Amino acid sequence: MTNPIQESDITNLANLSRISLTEAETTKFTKDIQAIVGMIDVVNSTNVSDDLLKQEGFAPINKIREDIQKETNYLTPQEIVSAAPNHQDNSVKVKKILGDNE
Amino acid sequence: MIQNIQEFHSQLIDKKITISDLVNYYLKNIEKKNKDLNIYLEVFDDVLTIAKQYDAELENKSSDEIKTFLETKKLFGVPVAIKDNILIKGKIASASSKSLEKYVASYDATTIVKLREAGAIFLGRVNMDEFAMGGSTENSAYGVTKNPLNKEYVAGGSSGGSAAAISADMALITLGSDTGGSIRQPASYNGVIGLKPTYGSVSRHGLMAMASSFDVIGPFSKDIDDVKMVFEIIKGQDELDSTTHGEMQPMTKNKIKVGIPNEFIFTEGVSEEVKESIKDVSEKLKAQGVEVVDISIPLLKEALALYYILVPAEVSSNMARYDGVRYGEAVSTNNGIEDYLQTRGQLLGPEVKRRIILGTYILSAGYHDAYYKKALIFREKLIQDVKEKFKDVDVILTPTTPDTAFKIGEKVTDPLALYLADIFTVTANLVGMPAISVPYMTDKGETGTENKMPLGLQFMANTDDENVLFSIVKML
Repeated sequence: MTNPIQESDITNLANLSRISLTEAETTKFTKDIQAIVGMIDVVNSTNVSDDLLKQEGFAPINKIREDIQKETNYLTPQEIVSAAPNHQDNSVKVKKILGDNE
Repeated sequence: MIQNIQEFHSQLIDKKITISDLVNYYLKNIEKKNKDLNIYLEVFDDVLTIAKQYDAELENKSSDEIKTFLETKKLFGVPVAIKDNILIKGKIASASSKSLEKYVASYDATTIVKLREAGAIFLGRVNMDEFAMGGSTENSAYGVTKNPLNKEYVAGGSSGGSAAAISADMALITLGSDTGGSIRQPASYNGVIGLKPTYGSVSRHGLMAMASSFDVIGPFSKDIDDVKMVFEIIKGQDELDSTTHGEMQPMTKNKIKVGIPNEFIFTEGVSEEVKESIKDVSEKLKAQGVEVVDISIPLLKEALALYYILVPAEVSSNMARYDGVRYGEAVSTNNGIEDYLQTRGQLLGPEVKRRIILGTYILSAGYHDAYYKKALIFREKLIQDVKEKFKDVDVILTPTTPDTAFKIGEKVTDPLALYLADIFTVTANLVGMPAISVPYMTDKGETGTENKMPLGLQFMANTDDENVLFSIVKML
């Protein structure tokens, strides 16, 4: 069994996942995830050889289509960009990443 | 009213019914019951217009001409409801999330294109657990869907709206998606049929990804022939989904052999009634010449653990796209990073956040090898184990769920308790094989009431062997 997850771990993981949590959520998720990790730990505590991972054909094979340019009216850039909450001149608009906006 | 597509089309040929009649029948049912049951999130405003156009197409045709026409348009005029995570161009697709409340799909899912080509009419979009995470629709940002058979109980999930719409007579066919039981479990709780097809047999293009190596779209209906027909229409290789593959196996077996894994029957939480019904169905099948044998797949005990390692890992990656920049709603603050944190923190629900954080933990340095990598190895071993069993038997029989539907609110504070309800269904997704839930029994009901709740049987078959599932279900 690995060390039980602490609230500080949940705070770090939430930051990594770009999710703000309230204090109540942090407390609740710590308890929930401790319980879930307790259930999944059976996998961690079993020894397995990773020979299978090295076998040819282990991973499912993607069928890749030929890399040829096709004429398509399937989706226009405008249609894709218009789904963004903030867009301008056919581009997705984002905030400055250095310093505060405005 | 109309029980299946064949009956509907026969009546169209005989000019005893119009498409508008059937559409109106469902619209009236929705109007009458939806406020209470919360199955539909939206009924499309163009439904009757399309129904009238389709009626006009048939108007001047003779019965023989209609018959010939319906042979090429197998779902002509069939009213279908769609789970809210499958895209229909120009319509909102919210995945029952606040974060996509007003998101309008910019393209059609491949399954939608295929249904439309076959003549289906889209009635509306139905409720689900947010981003398909959950087993009760209690995680929908738009409220829980109540079970039409008893409103105190959940309709199951995540495709709870799709199953309940069939049970409440609000659509003839519905589509759902299944990542770990999200079609079969609500089918079981609502007393309807739900098929989780072979992974890769139905295109995922236009289905909002939850766990990409598990997700598959499938149909719900009260009728096995309808399930088969809809599956045959939506399946097939699609250049927009590189994990799709070709054809299903033809039905060549004239005798079916069924295996019942010991591991399932002795699982904690399986009620005596459920065990009895498994015995009962074995007897019924044996009487029809089906061989029923006990089998053992020891790794089944680990299946749930594997599932709750691999799925959150894939979830945490797939959910990264909902950052308020590319789609849907956004919370605006005074800097970009805070925008991400607040958009995801405020607009995603608790179960989605819990799974993203769990997945991030599983994939983080130090835990990736302990959990994720080991789970990949176990998954491969499980696939080999199950494939080996299918050399001996044609179908594996278990209950779909350990018990009947639970009460709304009963498991809402304990995610682990809810996860345990997936114990029989996750294996089919881990190994990518097809499985179907069919109504078979009801419980004894609450003491002093007549409220009996249904429970489904689950049959699982080898990759692309859906035809064996259709055959065995017909024997029940």
